[in-house]
Amino acid sequence: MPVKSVQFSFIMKYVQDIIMKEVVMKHLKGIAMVVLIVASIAAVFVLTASKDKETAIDESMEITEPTSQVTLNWWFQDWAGGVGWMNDYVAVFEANHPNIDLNLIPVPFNDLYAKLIPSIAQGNEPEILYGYDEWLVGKDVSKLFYPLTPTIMSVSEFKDHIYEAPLKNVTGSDGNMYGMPWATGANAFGFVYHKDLFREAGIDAADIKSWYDIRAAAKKLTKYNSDGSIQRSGILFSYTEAANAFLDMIQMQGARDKMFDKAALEWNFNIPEAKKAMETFQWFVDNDIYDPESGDPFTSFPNKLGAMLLIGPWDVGLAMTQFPELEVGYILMPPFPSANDKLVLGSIVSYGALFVSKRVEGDTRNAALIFIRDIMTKPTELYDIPFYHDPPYWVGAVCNKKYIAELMGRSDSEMNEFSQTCLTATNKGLPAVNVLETRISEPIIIRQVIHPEMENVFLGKKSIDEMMDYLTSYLTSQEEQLAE
Amino acid sequence: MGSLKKKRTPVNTFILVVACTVLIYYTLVGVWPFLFNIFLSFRRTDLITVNKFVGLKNYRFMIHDPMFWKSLWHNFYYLGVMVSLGIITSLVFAALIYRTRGAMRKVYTAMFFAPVVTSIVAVSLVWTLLYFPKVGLFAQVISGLFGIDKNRLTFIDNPTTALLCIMIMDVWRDTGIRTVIFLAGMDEIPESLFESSRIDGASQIKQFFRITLPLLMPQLIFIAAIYSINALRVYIQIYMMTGSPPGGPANSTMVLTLHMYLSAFYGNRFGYGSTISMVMFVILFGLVLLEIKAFQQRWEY
Repeated sequence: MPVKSVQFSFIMKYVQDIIMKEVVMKHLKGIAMVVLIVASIAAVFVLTASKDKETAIDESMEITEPTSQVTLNWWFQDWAGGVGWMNDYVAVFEANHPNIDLNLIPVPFNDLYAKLIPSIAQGNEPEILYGYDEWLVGKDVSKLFYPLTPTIMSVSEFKDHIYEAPLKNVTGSDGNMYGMPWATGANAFGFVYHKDLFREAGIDAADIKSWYDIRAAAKKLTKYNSDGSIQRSGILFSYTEAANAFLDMIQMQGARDKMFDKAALEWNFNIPEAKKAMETFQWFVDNDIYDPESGDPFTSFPNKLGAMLLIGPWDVGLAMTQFPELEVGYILMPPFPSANDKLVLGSIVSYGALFVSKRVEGDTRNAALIFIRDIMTKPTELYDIPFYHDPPYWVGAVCNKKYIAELMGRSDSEMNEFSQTCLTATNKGLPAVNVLETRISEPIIIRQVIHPEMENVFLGKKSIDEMMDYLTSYLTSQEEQLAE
Repeated sequence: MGSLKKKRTPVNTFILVVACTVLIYYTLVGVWPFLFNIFLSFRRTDLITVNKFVGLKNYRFMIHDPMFWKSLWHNFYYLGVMVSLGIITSLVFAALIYRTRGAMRKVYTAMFFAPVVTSIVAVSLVWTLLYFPKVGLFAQVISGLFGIDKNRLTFIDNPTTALLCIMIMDVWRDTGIRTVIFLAGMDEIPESLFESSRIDGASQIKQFFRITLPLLMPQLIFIAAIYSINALRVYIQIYMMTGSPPGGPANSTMVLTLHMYLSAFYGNRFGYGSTISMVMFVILFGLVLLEIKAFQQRWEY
């Protein structure tokens, strides 16, 4: 005799029966018609949503000050130094243009990239967008953004203001400029370090001029437990920087074309230069100086689980502004052994750029273009902010020729170490820049492919040769697929 | 004499309106995106500048994509551990709480249920800190208790243990809801069965395996089915706990949802992302069919 009978989905089944008998079966045709109509409406809505919001662009229209109060929404990367810098600039800009309010919206780097294209496709992007030129390789920017030329100024005037290299990926198929590069973005640039740990170890940062000096200093700064395990790494490698620096080091050895053949869409890491670059990093692991299991470097470093941290230019500001209690300095990345002298700062491969939504019109359009024009034509108002802020918001190279010309005209007393670094970085770094024309996005190539492979080698899961084989085959297959 | 015309049943307008509303909603947020996803899976598109029909190329690429297979394996690993470990721990806790009476039973249930109602983002962030190597709480405590060198306790920074660490957090988080389901099932078991078995000299362990466990079969199947589906959809905790780049270290926590997201939104390959989601759909659909079949079974003792 059954002692228990379980009908777990009794209620669901009852409701289902009622709907099936009373509604669906009796009104099948009607319901099918409703579903079909709704699906058709949805299809039309989805397919036309972005097109409806597009505005016919009249490049001949002049730019005039808005007649009524206008708010410009501006997506900007949420790095601490940059947000501080931009907030200071917002105050300057709004004072110059009382009718324009800038609503700075900090967006995490990952989201910024992930949302850029979908938001434009959907038609809900803000008036001002921020991104990196390398995200646009292989894309026709004229389909994405509002043209800045000839409305703001002619193409030739634009080129008088901005260095040539950063303009490559923001130039549309019609020859117009669709973005304003303003500073260098993600790439290895140098090392932040704990000044107190350097003092304790008797190391003078000014003496570090080569990778051999870096090795010696890192060895001296490493602290060990009694069993020989690493308590504090002499050096830490953050993910973007390590992967970027790896690519840079290959290029610094003159092997750029050997590494990536853009015509044949082939990647090749089975070259001595790639192995040498990887061995440069691996040396720190093999010699018990870098512990690859010491956690997220941006948490490990301030907790002094590492004495130095390989970072990009924006991180200098980040490190200095986010941890004001720490005594942090920075060292520029030394030239890779056998590198071309011009590349002493690393080959900076991406430029932060500002874009205007192609959907702006009327006063909003005027306000957005005034914003871009001001940054281009009055660069000091923007660029001086980070270098003369204490602690500095940012250190790096800028894309504006006029600002660099102005810096060069200043006397030594008008310059500080950060503006001098900016001058050096721009003069030496920018001419060397040549963005890799791969169609694989930076977040994939750096974060999903190269860095995980570097981790595999650091952790002893793969040999350097296996890593090079994998990178060669995986990236080539991705490249081929994207080019089809 | 009755009319020859077929008599129409009067329409229940309320049911019709409710059913149509649900159908319209479902069509807009379920059917249409699904159809659009199928459409995208045959295209190479970044949604704006590139949009090209490529036939089965995305599917072919997926078959040769090592990251896809790695992610799939991680999902099934997650599924196996989550379901087995989740069921065992919850059963143990449910059995222990079942023996408690009065207010303490409610207190214990509430204690176990608290993580369930806590935001998974908050939980993930807290556990990330707990797992932090060398200076994290777990490293300090385990080192203190067992004398293991805390520098060797690297948890989610070690590719070998990273996924397991996330699963342990997930098992802990959902123990409450599973325990409550098992407790509800245990409450339905007639006390007379335990009394009879006691008279026959059955021990408590024997009672558990011979009476409690077989009678909890519907709950066991329900939990196994639901958590199998959840294991294939796992995303937030991995994204939050592995930081940048998500899925690390060394892609040791890469799962299908993450691979799909990264391919589509980081790689601007929305076609390929859709292809991965189609495969996920097929796997999940298979699991749902199994679940339906299991529910249709009548359990009689």
